[in-house]
Amino acid sequence: MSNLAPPSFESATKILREVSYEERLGGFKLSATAGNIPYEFYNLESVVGFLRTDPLDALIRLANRSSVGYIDFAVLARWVKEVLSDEELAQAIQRATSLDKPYADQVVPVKRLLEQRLEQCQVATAKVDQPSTDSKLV
Amino acid sequence: MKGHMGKILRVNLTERKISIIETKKYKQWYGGHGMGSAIFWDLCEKKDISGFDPRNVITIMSSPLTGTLVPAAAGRCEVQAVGLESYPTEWFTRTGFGGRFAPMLKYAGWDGVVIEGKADKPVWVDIRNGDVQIKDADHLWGLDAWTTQKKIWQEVREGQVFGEWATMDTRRDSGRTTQKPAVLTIGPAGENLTRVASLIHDAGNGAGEGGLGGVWGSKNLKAISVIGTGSVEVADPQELMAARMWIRDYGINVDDYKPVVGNFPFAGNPNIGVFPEGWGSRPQGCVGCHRCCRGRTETGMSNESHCMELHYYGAYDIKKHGKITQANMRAADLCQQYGINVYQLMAMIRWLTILAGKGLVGPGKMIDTDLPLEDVGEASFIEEFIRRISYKQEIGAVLAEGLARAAEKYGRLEEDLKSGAAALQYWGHPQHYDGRTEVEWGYGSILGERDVNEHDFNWCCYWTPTVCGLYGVEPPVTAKELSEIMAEKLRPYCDPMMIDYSDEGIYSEPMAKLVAWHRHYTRFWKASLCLCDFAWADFLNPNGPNNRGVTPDGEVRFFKAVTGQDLGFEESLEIGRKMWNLDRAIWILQGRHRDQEYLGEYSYQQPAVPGYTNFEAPYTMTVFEDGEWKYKSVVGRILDKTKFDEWKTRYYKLEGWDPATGWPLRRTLEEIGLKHVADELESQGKLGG
Repeated sequence: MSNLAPPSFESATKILREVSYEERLGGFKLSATAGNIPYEFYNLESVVGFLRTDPLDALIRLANRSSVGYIDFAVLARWVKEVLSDEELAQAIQRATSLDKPYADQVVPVKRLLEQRLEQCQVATAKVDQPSTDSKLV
Repeated sequence: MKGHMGKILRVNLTERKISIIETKKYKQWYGGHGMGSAIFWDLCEKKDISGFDPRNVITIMSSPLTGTLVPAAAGRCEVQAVGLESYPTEWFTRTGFGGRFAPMLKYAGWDGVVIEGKADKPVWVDIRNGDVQIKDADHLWGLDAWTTQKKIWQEVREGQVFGEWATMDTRRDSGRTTQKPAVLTIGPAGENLTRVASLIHDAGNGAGEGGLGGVWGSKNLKAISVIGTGSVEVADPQELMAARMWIRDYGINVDDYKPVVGNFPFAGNPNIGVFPEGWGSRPQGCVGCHRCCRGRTETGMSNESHCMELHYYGAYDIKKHGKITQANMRAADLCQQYGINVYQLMAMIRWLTILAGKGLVGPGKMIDTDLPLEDVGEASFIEEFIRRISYKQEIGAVLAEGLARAAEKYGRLEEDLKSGAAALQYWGHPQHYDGRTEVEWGYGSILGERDVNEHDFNWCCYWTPTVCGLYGVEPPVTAKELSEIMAEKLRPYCDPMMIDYSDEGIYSEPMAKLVAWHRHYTRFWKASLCLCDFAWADFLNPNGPNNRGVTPDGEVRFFKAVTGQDLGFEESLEIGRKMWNLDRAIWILQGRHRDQEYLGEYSYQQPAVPGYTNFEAPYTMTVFEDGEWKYKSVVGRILDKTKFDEWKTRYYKLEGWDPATGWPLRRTLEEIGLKHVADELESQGKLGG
């Protein structure tokens, strides 16, 4: 997995923000019985939460109850680059998905990248949110 | 013909009168939907009434196979009436549910129930074998669907212990039962006359599409309870048992389990094992079903819910919590308790969140509501959302009209149908599978009156190749092999090109044949003989010889064993065609015309939602291109309005309908025994030609 450089406070704030309606990302929850249910995403955190597939054995075994959380990775990379302005993460997603692998095999690496970035952003913004020792001294 | 009990219960709520219709009067319609449509035709004199009109007639029908050993057929029930959900016209419609209500009805001696009129106060119908009473339901009105059933169970079997023998009548051999009554009821959503209310039976059998719960509410009918101690006489018990043993090899074999990727009807997995979230579940099924597609969970939550109920809120739950939590299970239970249609709930939540993203929803905004949309994904939100709709409170008063009418009231309908924000692809019913890519679903729905919700071609031509592609697994058969299987099974056409979902194939004559075959097959075998959609038709079966399923041989074999009638498969499709034409005649009397039969506008305009998404999910289907069969992604396709119009002309001609109006021709109706229908259409100036 790529090691993403920690973002600045400004970048992290932008990455974590709620995007506008025009900037939203789309995905689908696929299931054998209920059809393809569309969902819209307005922040990175909800994308991270949504992105999942049941393991193959669960997909077979659970039948009606199994599902796939689907987001087109090319679209995701473009969204990360153009809307969240996170060029590095977008490139990492492209690298993780550039191999000729089925979708299910790409989900975990991409999700890990997103989780890593999300955690970095939360750390970056949390540091600034808390009053620093220096400011107390002043 | 064996399999029928011989009488249909007729209940006039206005006069509080019980009478009997002899089943043999409608024997040419076989059962279920066919009988229901024919009875509606006879008893509902004015067809273009509102679903709320007391003259509306409800039919609740079983089939000759109900309550027998026929697998995935014994437990289904067919319900029909003028509905409330469809837009702009309240079409005469159908819905269905499983469980044990229909078999119990037959064990009590009845092939169906017909409801007419309107009670002057809330009532319920208490059926105990041949004893039928209309009772006051003041003590039940206001209760949720589960509590209502518990109250009735206790009332009918007062002082008795469930599971122990109870004597229901004096017959020596069949007067006793260990069972509790089977109850079909409405919850608050039906009582309060919403257009999105379901009928609920046991924990999770919901008849949702069409909004017939509101029709019951309008008649002040809270519930029908039935307990019976009889049995169904079949023509050839030995052959029925032999057929059941024969077909066993096509179902799942727990001793020699083959894990195959995809979804298969008859060979599909029962609901087993432990969920990824760590919750245990054991299979639960309708009467006589091997498939057991529902589950009983160790948490006790979402028992028997198995389809959309378990999925409509799931992704919001995941988005909120990073995984499926009890919020999703609670959402499933709430829709059953309130008796509300989850497809509408799903479409409404999505529509509201999209409009909220545009800044149009909130206190003082275009859609003025204090609904806490920031809590979507929480159990508290879905509970509040369902409560408001069911009791018509605040924004719920508007949403209770269904999404199409709600969007219209807010002045949003035209724009949101174009954009797909209101993804209502057919008659105001939410998109289920996409009519642009999997056209037999969309075409069948718009030629009918609702989301067809029949997975016959969906699982083998779309879901299995698509999910195999997502997981990098080879499908069980190649596209060419699948086309060959279909050519064998789609009698009388036997045309492999019928499953060509290419850009050209979807407007072709073979696609007209596919849609016609599908309409006729499902009208007869699923809606009228009540074979379950989750097990039939069985085209592709990994347990069958050369991956062949049991259709069409299985259907006719079981039919003959039960009824004693030697019905050819092609003949059964002709009867299905007759039923399809009778339904069409009713819709025509309600105002149906060719010009209305268009899918939601976004189907022709939106290849992709503006922003960062493909319009549709992965959609890999069977196509014939460049001289070869292949599985190919057809995602992102829009329909060409002109070509779709030309396709409709092909379809109408194939059905024997007037291409100018979509109305059946006299000769078409007469050749299938519907002269009286042709006469009625002609008298109203609505006969084709």
